[in-house]
Amino acid sequence: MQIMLGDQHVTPEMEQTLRKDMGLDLPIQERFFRFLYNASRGNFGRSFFHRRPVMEVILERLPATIELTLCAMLIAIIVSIPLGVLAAVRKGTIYDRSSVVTAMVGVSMPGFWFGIILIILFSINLHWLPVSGRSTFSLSVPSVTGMLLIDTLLAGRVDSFIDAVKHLILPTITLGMAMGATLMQVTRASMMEVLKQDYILFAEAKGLKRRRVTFLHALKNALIPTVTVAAIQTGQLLGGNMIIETIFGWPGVGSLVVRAIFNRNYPLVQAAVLIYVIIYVLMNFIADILYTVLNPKVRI
Amino acid sequence: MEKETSSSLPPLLKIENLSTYFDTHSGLVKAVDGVDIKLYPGECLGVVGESGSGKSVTFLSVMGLIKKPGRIASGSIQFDGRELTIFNPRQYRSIRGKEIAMTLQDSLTALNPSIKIIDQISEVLKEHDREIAAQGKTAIKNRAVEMMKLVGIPDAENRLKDYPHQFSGGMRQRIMIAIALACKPKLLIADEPTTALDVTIQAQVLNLIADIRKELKMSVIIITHNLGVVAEYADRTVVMYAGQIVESGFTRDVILNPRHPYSQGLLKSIPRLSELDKAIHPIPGQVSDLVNLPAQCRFFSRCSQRSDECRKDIPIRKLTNHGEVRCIKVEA
Amino acid sequence: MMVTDTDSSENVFNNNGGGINQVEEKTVSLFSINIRNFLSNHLAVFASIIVISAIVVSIFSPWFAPHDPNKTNLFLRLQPPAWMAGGDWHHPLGADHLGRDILSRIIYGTRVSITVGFSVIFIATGIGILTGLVAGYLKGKFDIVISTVVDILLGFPYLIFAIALMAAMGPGFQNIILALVYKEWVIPCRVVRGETLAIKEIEYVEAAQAVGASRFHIMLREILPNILSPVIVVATTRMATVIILESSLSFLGLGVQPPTASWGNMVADGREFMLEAWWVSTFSGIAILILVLSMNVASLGLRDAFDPRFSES
Repeated sequence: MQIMLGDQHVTPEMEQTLRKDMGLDLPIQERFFRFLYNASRGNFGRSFFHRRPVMEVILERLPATIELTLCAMLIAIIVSIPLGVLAAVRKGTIYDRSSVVTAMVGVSMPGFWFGIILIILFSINLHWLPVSGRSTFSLSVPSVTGMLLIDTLLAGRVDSFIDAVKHLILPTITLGMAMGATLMQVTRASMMEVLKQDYILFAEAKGLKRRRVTFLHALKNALIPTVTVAAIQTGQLLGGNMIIETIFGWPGVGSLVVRAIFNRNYPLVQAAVLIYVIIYVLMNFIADILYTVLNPKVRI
Repeated sequence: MEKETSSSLPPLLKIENLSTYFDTHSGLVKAVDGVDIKLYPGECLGVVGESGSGKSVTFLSVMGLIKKPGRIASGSIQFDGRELTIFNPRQYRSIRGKEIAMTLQDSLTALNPSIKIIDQISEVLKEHDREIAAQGKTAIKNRAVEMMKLVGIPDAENRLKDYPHQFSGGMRQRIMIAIALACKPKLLIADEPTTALDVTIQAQVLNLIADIRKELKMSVIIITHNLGVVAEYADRTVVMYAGQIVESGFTRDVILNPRHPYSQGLLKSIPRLSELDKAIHPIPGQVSDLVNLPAQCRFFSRCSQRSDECRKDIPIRKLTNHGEVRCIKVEA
Repeated sequence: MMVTDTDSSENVFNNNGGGINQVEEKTVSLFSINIRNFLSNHLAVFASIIVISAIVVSIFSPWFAPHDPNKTNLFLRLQPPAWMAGGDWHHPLGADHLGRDILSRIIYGTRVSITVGFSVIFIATGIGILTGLVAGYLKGKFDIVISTVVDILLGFPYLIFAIALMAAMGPGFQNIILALVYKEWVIPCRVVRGETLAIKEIEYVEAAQAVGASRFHIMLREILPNILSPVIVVATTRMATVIILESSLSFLGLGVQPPTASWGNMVADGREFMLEAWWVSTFSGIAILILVLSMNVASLGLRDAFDPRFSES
């Protein structure tokens, strides 16, 4: 209690009222149910720090996190799936080996360190990209969707768009690296499994063009586990978000939560954790659905 | 049902001294070692052998489908006057599915589970039959339906959009045959066409192949370990063991009067209804290790008629009745 | 424990005579580590040597470190590494903002990473094996309870859970181990449970039951040795992840507290000085990378050594 209120002058009566208001005097089960009840009505309580409802604070910063996460996902998929396919098709060659090595290194690198290295290299030494933040103030545009990439285009400001992109590059690469590395390994393994199957042999026995066999026959089946993994991984990106956002000063929910934890801003942390869990469960659910949709054997 | 070979015509397929080796972790596996086979137009050839005899690998080599760590080490494969061993991948792709077609043993794994049947049939047509492809989607679809009806799939029109797992085993095997025959190939290689099927369906499928063969005047190679299949449908038969041909000849001769101890053993091991009270006679032992083959008859360890003179490489010799045997104990 | 140095690279055409017995032999000794195969995988061996070296360094840090890792010397503040201008070989990798030798801190940091990594994995795997065996073998109520707990725990994103726990418990060495164990045990539990369920069906368990062996005995002597190989492989892979998690938590300041050196908080320290002194963050991160990469490679080699059939040729 004391820590939360910080250095405001607190009288015992105030403390008592606050306790009552926060329900801290009730037994634990009651508190939990109260929380759920309030939560289901969207009421997460007020954040001490901001003196505003917690939900408002979180929602304000959500688009930034979503933009970053989506971009990371996109880059990871665009880069790693073709690499995985290439590695599987040219198994044993230099393409295969180098992809595997890169993936292993990518998985073994701590995300926070990688981000810092990128900053040191590209921002500080080479001055190609900005060090942190999401955009340069002078290039602001009115906020429509909250996603800078879209808003800048809507406002017709190419320079703002480029500015937004420049700010996005490093965090996206850092966040996408871990996901991309795993995705590449999964795609490669899945593709290799598929290529061993009889139906690939049969397809070749039909004299079909190589490209058709690889992409239509093989990849279609190989993507099934890959896509499910990608969906699950996206849920896990949420955890990585927190650290990456902190490093890059990205004004998203992640950095907000990290600060809230240190400031012992419990209502906010609770709300954030709940949201994260919901999204995580949602992504797993989506993964299940995707699997059903893609695999004709399981379709109803 | 027999058919005399048109031996006046040159062979459609001529395999000479084919050797296909696999470089594995445990050593060099000589899956096919010096095999000679001739197939004449319109003929049905039976290739008999157990697992590991090299029967499938031989014809995968013909199709050019041997992949690392396997390679065709030596020999020649002539198809319709062309030398296949010097073909590049593009040339191979132009004859596969079009002039030589192959079906596989397990129809469930041989058909792509994520692609509709209509597409799996029409892609062969689109690839190899320029005329039909030019006529558009409907023409292709009609031909696909035609093929499915030909192989006896009921309600073909409505089942085009289905996936392989929605068909029964027998149906799938027929679909494979439909796909293989869509472009009216000169040669059909059927690898174990009946092994994964119920006994009743087996006969249906084989009769189907026989009928189509008559109609299209196609040559057929049936690879199987089941002598019964061969006895009924093949004009000539080749028996393989451990990568080599141990006996070959007209089916009638090989079945009724097998000369090689292995062929004799095969026939003896078939349980007959008329002899229910007698003991079953399997061939003792297992196929020898194909990696470290000693220079002797490969059937040595399991042969009841072996002797010391069998301890050297045995060549194959011609018999008077147009057959061949690889055994010193047999008089030509 | 059955550790049979069998040559599991069987040739399909092997003629051993007596077919049926052969099959039984293979399924029973599932825990047979093919040491020869592992040793021929030079990369994995090299990686294992690195891991072992790290263990040695963590134990004998005082002998390896040229300086006291906590000794501050403001004259040496932010001294660059030896090969750059202003550096010298007394402090090969330079000094941090308090003048402490980076190399020595990295060496002492090994202690934190190795200890946390091994402790978490040992404890979590222990708990996991116990719960997994119980859930898989005894089924019924036990299984339902344990599986539900596992599912719930799995529903939380790892880092968030860990951070939340740490925030509640407070930072520190022991708390990190606890927090990580909390989430980590479910993974070996799941593996063990799955394997137990599969093995239960195999005949020799029924045979032991028929003879009247106690359930405990069965779990211990019959099932356990045969599920060990996948468990070990999973444990070694997870260790790498745990080390990264620990460093992430330390980076956020939730790990061991200053002045103790941990690779994570070293990277955090250096962050303020990215502009002037890149070396403070960089080298500790490289240490993490090397250790984790070696663990990943070694565990991959271990997986292949247990059952070469499943490795990709």
